[in-house]
Amino acid sequence: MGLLSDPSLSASDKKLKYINLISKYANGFCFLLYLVGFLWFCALSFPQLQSNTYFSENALLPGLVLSEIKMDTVNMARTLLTELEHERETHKSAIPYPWMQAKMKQIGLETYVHNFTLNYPFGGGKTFQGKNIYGILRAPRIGSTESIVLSVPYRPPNTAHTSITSGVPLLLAFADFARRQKYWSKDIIFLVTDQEQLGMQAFLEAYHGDDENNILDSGTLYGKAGNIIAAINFEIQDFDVEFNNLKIEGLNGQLPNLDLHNLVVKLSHKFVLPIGYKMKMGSHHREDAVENFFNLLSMMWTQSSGIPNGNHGLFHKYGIEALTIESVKRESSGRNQNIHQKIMALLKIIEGISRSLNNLLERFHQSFFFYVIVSSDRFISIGDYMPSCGLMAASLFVKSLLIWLMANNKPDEEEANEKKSDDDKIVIIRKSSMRIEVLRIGTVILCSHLVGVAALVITTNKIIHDYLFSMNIPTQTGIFYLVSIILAFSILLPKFLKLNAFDAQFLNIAVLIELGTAFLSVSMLNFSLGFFLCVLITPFAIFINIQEGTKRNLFKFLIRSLLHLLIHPITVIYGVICMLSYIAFSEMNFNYIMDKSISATVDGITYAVVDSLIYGNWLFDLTCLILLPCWIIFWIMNFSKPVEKISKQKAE
Amino acid sequence: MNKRLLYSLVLSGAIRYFISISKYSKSIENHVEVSTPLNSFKRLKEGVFLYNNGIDPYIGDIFHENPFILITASFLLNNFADFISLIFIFVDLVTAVFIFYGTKGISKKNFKKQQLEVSTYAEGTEEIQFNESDINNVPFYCALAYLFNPYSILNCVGQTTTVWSNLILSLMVYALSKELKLLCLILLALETQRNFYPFILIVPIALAFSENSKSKNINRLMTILLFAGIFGGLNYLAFIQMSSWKFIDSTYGFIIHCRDLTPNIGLFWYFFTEMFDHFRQLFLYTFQLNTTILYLFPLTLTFKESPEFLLTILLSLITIFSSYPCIGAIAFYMSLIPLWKRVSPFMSHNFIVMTTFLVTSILGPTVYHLWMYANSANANFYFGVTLVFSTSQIFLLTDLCFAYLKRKFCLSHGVSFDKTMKLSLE
Amino acid sequence: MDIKLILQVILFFVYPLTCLCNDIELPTKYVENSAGHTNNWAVLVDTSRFWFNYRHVANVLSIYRSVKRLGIPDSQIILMIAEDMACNPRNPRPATVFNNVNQNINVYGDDVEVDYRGYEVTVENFVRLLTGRVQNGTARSKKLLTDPGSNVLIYLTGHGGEGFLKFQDSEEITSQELADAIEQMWQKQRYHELFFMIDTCQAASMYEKFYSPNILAVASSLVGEDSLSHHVDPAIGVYIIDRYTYYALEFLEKVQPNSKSTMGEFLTVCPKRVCISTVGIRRDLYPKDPNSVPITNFFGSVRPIEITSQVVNVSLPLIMEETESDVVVKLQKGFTYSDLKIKFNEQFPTNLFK
Repeated sequence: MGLLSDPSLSASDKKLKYINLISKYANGFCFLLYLVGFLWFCALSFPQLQSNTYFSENALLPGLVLSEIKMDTVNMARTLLTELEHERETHKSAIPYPWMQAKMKQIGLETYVHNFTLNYPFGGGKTFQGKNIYGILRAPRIGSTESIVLSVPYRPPNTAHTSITSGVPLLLAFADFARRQKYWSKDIIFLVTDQEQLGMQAFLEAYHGDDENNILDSGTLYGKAGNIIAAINFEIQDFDVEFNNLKIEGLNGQLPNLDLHNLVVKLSHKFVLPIGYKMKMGSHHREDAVENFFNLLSMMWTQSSGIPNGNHGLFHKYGIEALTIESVKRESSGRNQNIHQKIMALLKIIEGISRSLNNLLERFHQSFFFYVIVSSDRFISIGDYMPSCGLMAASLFVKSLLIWLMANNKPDEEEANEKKSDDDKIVIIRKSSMRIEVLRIGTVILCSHLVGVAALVITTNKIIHDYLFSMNIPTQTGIFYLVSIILAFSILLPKFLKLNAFDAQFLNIAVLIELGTAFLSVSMLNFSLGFFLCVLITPFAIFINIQEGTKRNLFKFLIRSLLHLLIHPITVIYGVICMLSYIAFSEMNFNYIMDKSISATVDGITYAVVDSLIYGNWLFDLTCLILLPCWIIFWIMNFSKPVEKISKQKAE
Repeated sequence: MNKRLLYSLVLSGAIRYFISISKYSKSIENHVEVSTPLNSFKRLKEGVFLYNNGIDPYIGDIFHENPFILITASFLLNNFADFISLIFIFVDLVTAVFIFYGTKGISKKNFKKQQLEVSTYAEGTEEIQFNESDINNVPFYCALAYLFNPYSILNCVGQTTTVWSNLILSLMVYALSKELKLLCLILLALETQRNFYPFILIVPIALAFSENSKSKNINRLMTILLFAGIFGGLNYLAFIQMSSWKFIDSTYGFIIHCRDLTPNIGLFWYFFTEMFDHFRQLFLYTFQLNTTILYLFPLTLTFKESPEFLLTILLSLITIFSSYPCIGAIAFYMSLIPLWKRVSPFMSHNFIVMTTFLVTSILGPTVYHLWMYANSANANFYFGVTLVFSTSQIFLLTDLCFAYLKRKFCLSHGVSFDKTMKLSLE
Repeated sequence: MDIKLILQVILFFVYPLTCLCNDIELPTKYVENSAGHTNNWAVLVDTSRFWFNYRHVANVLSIYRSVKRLGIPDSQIILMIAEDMACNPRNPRPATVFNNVNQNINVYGDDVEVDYRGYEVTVENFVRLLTGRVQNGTARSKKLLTDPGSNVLIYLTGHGGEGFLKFQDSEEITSQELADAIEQMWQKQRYHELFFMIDTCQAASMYEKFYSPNILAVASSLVGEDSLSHHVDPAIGVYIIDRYTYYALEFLEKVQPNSKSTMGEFLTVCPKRVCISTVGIRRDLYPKDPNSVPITNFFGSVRPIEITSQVVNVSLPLIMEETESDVVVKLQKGFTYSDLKIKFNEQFPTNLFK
């Protein structure tokens, strides 16, 4: 039974010796773990440690089929584009529904319009209307049990975003081609979405009968096809394509199955259209560890925010594999002679993808769901990257274990005196002068988390926002005020919750375990976010020691407090935004950037709140419910009183 | 009522209320860790709906509550449908109050018992003796352990019938401490009807009620017979209510045969999913014996002088090893552990157990999400995590048992020993 | 339960004895009579489903087409196909299955009789079919009604591994099971000679365990090798035939019913140069020289016909005839119909053992 429970009565001297030894090097050892984890990640940028992409799903049969797209489809795409451009002159702010509906019907699709309403949570009950339009091509020889989605977001002429008008004619031309084929085993939904991601979210909610979202009233779909197996979203800037860019990062960092990614890459290669992941103008692939490293970081950066970088990202929530193909316009001026070939290649890629997806017999399940792309043909799988996060999180657990051992086995001075007198006795229960105040520790943990909950509630509560609106305070400013209140409250909290250093140690243990657990599970769900959190917070959490000794060193205390403030979630967000804007607009004055970044931070928080409410992005929730409370606990620990003082007080 | 208890009740009630109106309540209710086929509120509603429409809910495979719960729920859902979540919160708070008074009675009893024996204790053992202040502190800790335990909060928000179970159990503990024999046995019979396994708790209860009697064995036997009588009577009442015996198979049969293999935090589902049919019976009975009577006799012989401790241990054992365990039941036995505060200095795995609890409680749902919703991960990951979770519970339990014995030893032999002496309870 | 157990124990000890008792020599008359090859049967099995396994269906239909062309009637061909490729919604040429990119032969022609289809293609059904232990009420077209004079062609295609062949996506038959089934066929005198042909990965592993006589076996690849597909039809978008079957078919297309080609020639149709995998051949169980056995012995159904004007007694002087004449006599004597005792022909020619 020694395995389950230690039947012997006391800790031996040997054990104490080890503990003393460990306690000397505790921080060093934990930091070593952290370092190994970090270096592990860096090592992944060496090509030897990455794998080449490959197909695991037999049913896809990528690119086996001879393309049947002919010149007439290409010509149709061009004609449709001209027509659409004409329509756009009269429809400045909305989709030209009559034209599009007529075209879809003419092609022979079941055409429907989907209305949805956004009850904006801020700004006193403002509502926004939107209208998607979609056509279903029914599989001719099988019941409508499965479907694939080909979608294009439509951007009206007066939008600030890059124009991606060419997607619609391309899709319609392909629909016209597909309508004439008889080999479809899945329905194809041709979807044109309104209002960017909002339209897509509404469509998906309505499609899956998901009516839990009160803010987005997703309306009703009058026609449905089968279970959606996969989706491809197109952002075609122009027919004169320079290269295609793949976007895969979805909501909360979910990724599509790697097979889908590989499929698109393979077909693009087949039809000689350059494609890449995060391709830049004129970039070339090199087997260079440094470049790989930055590619890695760049993907992880996009993934970590949990915000989808295209309409495809919303599909992932419903277990549908999806990605966006972004066709980037050729920069050079002058009409390109071989524009027909470009359109042909695009159409053939769509055809190839559709036919491969058509071959699927079951959902994507082979290949990888968790990976990091280094370049379009190399990736790192979960088994290879997870240890880096695991090691970093482990350092937190180790640290907490060491604190626990030290706190429980610290030889008190009185006891040391006693020991001298009777050296040959083992004392099983040491009479410690200090007793753990479980209640006090519990209260601190509870309060700090309640502050977190409060932060989440007041920033998302409709009543509060309605009140702010009635006071004529703009949403951004309102949220800024609310966040400031929380910030002030969290900073003032140590005033009300006082602790001594002994209890603070146990608080430290609790917070380390909480952080470690959070990091582990976050990195399983969204590796990038977990990794960045680990890298940022772990060293800080390791090196915080409860101030011991009798006197408080004011200078050290100030430094420590400053450090704490630097790691506050809001400061971190601000810092990151500053850094990003400095990289993006390096020519500007630094002070100006600093200044601008404040409003950008507030905007960022507002968007995070909106994302959390409408799309279910949990980054904001995570920050409020875990990261902020943990920071508060660290902050309270910083103000803990040295032990001696308290015992003296008690004596008095 | 105690002031600080009142504050805690209000605060924890507020926490429960706010979570139950938040957007998370729905997903909490659907979590397999919270709702099992045996206690899920959804199934209860379905059963009530069938019952109200004159269909025997026990014919199908949805409903497995006992008839009394069915009738109560039917009454509540028909009359107070809008206040259901408030009722659940109220019941949970009442449970905490009864835990408070029940454990207070037990603490008093322990203290009294100790005073009779204190002369035999070794010197220097004051630290590990029950203290007068414990009579007030310990029950408060017990109530806190129930009120602020995340497991019980989630259980309450998830509106499982385990909330009712916990009420019955807490009442039973209260009746035990007040020596209300009949009430105690009726409650035990009710809980046995709901959950089947608790019938083994008759052993500590019989021990407890026979402590002051002269002919102990006859007293115990009478208690057990009385329990059997009450249990039979209740089942007959249920039969009269339902006018069919179908509920027997749909409740006890469902528990014993483990017919529903929905993943849960227990050890049954994974094992029986892959089981060859001709081995199923054998392993089923092995598992059920393990849950019920395998540990009953050795534990009874070891802890017979403290029936309350035996009760705590047995309650946690049946929670861990039952066929459909849920976190609500775990919350209840955890709330009894502070009773043995004076044992805690001897416990040596607190850190590991607590860390494992926390990590697995978070990792479990994460892995489940990856398995069910993200299409990645698989059953093995989830079972792995729940296995570790169960193991850590067993660690806690064995640690508690050993600590109890160590304390007992130290009370009579003192707390400091010669270095040359080798101490082992192996 | 207990009785069952005891019975099992008894059986365990008694069984070897009964085996010894059964080990009698067949009456020479019977054996001599059945020594000759009198008829041909073919069992053609595609074990895999799913659209991307189109080629396996094409394989098996190609062989079907050849044996039918060479004279085995549909009633003597058992065709097992696990998926209906012709009517798969993904098929751009509905109701056809092609085995060549030029699409000049639609192997799913007008008169294909599929005997076991879809989920009926299981290991159990296959073994039952071979051993003749079909369930009561099984249709005649689903039975392999061979006799001691039957030459049987077994053709299998699908996905295999070392020592097994996958059926559908859920079960597999092992080489040992297959060998035992064939031994059972031999013991029940269900074949005269057997030609076993298999086109899967690691195909040779499937015939390694055979231990019954008169079997000639050929496999598309040796153990450790994959069998490869031949080519893609880009119009259909799938691989449409496997290499070994493709070349076997190329050879068979040139064979006419009166051809003098031999099995020896057939065994060399696919040299490694074109097959990429090594074709495995097992002839140690086959007593004859394949080079002297005409290919039509297995792939056709040609029986030597002698035209004669005289009465030739081709049957044994069976007692059966006497019984028949008895009936006739009785009827002639004017017995009423109800008095007539119907006599059934015996299932097994026990009279021969007298």
